[in-house]
Amino acid sequence: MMRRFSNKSLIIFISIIVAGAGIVWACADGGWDDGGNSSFTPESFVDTAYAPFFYSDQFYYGIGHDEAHVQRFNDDVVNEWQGYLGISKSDTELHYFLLQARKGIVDSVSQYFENASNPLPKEVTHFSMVQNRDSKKLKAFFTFLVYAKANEAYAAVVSYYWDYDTSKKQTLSDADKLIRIGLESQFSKTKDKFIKQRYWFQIIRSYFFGADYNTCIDWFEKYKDDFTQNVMYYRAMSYEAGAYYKQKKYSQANYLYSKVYDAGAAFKTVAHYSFHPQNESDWNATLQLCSNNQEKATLWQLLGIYFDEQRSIKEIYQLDPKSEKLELLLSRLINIEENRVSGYDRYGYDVSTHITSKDSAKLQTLQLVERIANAQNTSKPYMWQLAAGYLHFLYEDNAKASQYYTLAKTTLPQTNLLQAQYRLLLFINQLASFKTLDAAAESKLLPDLEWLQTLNTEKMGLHNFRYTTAYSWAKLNMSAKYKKQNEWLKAECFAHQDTFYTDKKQTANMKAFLQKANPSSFEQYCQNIYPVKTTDINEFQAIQLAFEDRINEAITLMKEGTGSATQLLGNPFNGRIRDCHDCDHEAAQKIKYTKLSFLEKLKEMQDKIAVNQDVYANNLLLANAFYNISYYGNARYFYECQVIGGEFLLYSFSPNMFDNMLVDNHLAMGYYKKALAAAQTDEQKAKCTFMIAKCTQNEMYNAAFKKNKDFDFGYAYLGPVDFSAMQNFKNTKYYQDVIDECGYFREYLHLKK
Amino acid sequence: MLLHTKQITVAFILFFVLLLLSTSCSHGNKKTAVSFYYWRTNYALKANEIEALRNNSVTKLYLHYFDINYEPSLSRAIPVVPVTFSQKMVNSIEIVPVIYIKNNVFENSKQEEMGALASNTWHLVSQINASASIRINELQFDCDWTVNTAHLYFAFIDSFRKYLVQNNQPVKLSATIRLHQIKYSDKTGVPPVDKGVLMYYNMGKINTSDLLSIYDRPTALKYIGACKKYPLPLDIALPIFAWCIHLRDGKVVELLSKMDERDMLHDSLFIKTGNFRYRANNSFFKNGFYFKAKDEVKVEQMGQNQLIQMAQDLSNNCNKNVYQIIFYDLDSLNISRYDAQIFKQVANYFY
Repeated sequence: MMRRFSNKSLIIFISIIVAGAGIVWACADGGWDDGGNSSFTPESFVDTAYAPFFYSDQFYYGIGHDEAHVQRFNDDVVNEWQGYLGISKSDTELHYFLLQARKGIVDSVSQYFENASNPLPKEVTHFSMVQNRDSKKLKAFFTFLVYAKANEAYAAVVSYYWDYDTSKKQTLSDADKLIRIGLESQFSKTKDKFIKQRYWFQIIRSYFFGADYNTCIDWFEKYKDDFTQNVMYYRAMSYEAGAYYKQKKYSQANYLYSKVYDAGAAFKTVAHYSFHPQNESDWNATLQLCSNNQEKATLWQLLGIYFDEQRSIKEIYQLDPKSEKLELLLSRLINIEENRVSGYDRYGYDVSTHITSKDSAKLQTLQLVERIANAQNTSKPYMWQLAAGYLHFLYEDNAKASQYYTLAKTTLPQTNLLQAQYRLLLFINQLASFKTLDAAAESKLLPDLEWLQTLNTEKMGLHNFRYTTAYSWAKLNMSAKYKKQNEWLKAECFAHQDTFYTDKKQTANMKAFLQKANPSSFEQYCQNIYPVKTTDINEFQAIQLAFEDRINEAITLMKEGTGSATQLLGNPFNGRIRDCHDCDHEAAQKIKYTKLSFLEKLKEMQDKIAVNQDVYANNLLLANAFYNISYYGNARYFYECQVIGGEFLLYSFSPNMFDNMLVDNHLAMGYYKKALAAAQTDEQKAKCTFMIAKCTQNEMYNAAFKKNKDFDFGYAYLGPVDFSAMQNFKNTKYYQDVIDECGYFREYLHLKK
Repeated sequence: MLLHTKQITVAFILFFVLLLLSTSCSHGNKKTAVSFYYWRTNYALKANEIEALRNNSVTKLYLHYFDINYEPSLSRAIPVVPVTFSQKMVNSIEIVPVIYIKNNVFENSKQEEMGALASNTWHLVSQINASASIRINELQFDCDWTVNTAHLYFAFIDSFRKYLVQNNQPVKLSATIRLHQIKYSDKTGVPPVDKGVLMYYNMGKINTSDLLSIYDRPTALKYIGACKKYPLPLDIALPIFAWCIHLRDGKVVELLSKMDERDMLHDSLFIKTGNFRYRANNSFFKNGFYFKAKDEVKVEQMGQNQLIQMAQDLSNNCNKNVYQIIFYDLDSLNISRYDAQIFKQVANYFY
């Protein structure tokens, strides 16, 4: 019984969806997301401020790499100034001055505020912000902005990858250092706390970029208590942390980074990225710097995200079982474990898919999660219980999983995502616990199967819900169980087998199943999920019949088939010396044949032959037609359909599937022979003789392919073709045409010479 | 008798000529030079590095300017960490920029993009040259190209050369050549450069096995015979770097760069479990890396004897001119593992 995600066919199934190669059968179960093969949605349990640290194959989940260094606080800057200056949020002028205006413009406006005789730049003369020269706040704003714009030259450079001047580390020029003297003077003069804090920040940043780390630290420490602990405060603290880091004082640097990390969602990635303990001594010293357990928990969380979830969970749990810092780490622990157990390895290393009962990682993870789940003293006990249950599911203990899920239910909040997560875990555990799938089991599973089939995550408020892997696994699991029970139709509905339609009896059974008059609810669900419909099977059967030269029956089924109106690309009655599908497809065509009208034309020709009308011409056209609907001809569209697939090259077909039928030229050969028998002129005979040789050559290819599936059609050379019969028609124009067009024939003549 | 004496005289002359040819190096009297790669992202030579350059009369330094990597999120190739300079260049030493291009750049590019890539690359190289007042005579590309990417890599080099000509830059181009590219040059192709550098390291896989990834003599010997036939003049690059491979649960966690056996040997947090093998007895930080209890470390570093052995094998197998041996890489840690004279000693095998 297939219970774990480690099932090989699941892995293959996942690969197929990812690669987009399952052209026919990769039915749309839903999107593929960063969750990879996960069924444990971190968003269900964890504060979204931690989203970048959810386990994924990206450096930061949903972001990739954090490149927002220059613009990260733009909105904060504008909002804070709007509040200070009392400017409406919809005003674009402030936004312009802060984020777009060149330094020259700001300089001029500031000078104008100093002295009205100084001219305003034409870009801003109409701005309402510059009309009120008497506003002290506005004057202070523009004075400050002159300094801030000057500092942007080194502190807020947008780098361009291929431009060295912007991509390399920025340093302070002598002029920048002079500006700092002005900044310090403004800082002393300014009484207004809002403006003063901004000068303070600019000064600290300037010392940092000027590599004067001691002074950078001194400035922060000396005035930090004068200001509220707002965004500006923590931005300044980041530079202090950076200064310590540059001085290799890692314990202080990492302690401050952890405080910045805790200051708000906007700081999290950049502080995490900067956090780098070097040695055990500095790490221990960092812990010593903490003034309370909450600070210690933050440090342990950072360590946990980077390196060691289990150790950090233990430490934080010991410090404070109710710490919200535990939740992110638990979600990572579970996502990592499900990834390990599933065997879908995103990093390309070999991962054993077999989790034994002695697997040490399994035992450690389970022991830790169970201990905390059992204690029920965290702030979200249901998260630990669901995690413990899910681990037991992964380790194939469905009874224990069920026990934990039952426990979780009592405290589970009624949020959409949590309820959906709970339902999904319950469903897969129940399915795994069924050894056989009888009617009772089916009726228990059906509501969840239908829920998953019609799930619209956006409409249902289930954004980010990870259910696609579980649903895919469930289908494969059910398919395998049905196969064991010899219920081949259901097995096929849940997971397609390449060989299914090679059996005509099974084809007919499936058609009957899909057309069943009063299907049960479960059968109806099977019909719905199965991507092949009755009309697809009709079309497929019509194609099969055509390849058997049973044209009347083929027409009947094609009329009720999906692709009856599909147009063929070229004239399927053309017969070329040298095949050129593109030429045929591009050539002007008076009549464009559909799959159906093509079959009807075949019938018309066969009817004419039956009454001895144009026997040569009709046999020749029929021969060309059967040649063209084979793999070698210009009308491969004829056989491409939902069941067979489309746009395949021969070598991509599975053995024993339809390859024999599609490459076979015996019908064409038969009609060429009949045309030859009816031919009256040497020109006609030459043509039929050559076309028979072409079919013979294709048979050589087919034989080579049957012998070796790696046989390369494009490049293989199988030796000379026997064109000896053509020697009788040396005097024909057609003979000369063949010499002109056919390299094999020229080669043959050369060999004979 | 007279005739006989004449014959003897001719024979003697011939003998001395041959002797002269065989004892002098095959490229005149010039000794095989010692060079180094410099691979850190900031140019700032330490005291023992400057000393190594001086002691070995180094006149060329192969300076890593930047990598080019394909960035999937941007769907294009971008340069990675261009070198910065905290020191002035040494006047007597010529700088040869080295650009490492990841093969994924060519795996994800089209022929028509090669012109722009070459132009971007030259633009960045010129900016770096200008910022550090460097004049160059040679530029080296380092890429582990494959049969599938050869045509694009070579097209890139051709485009790059075109930019050099257009900008009137008389710069010679060289390229690193891996052992498999030497042996199978008919399949992998020969890059359109003036000179190659045989990279005599990174021969194996980075894995948990006892085989070394940096150098494995039996593997090397299977390949070096092909040196003789290689159509480009070849310098040789030899490894003096070390790295440690961090292992957990039988899998590779990461490469511990800038660490060697001394880091584990003198640290009670590690237990020696075998030749070049250590185990962490606890969970802890060390040199910026985090080790979990029971993690393993596999040390890879080349001893002096191994360098000598490489020189012997190569000088026996490559009978072509070897103008210089380039050691990878100039770093105080690496230098400190070797006697000062080892570099010249190795180079002496080639003349």
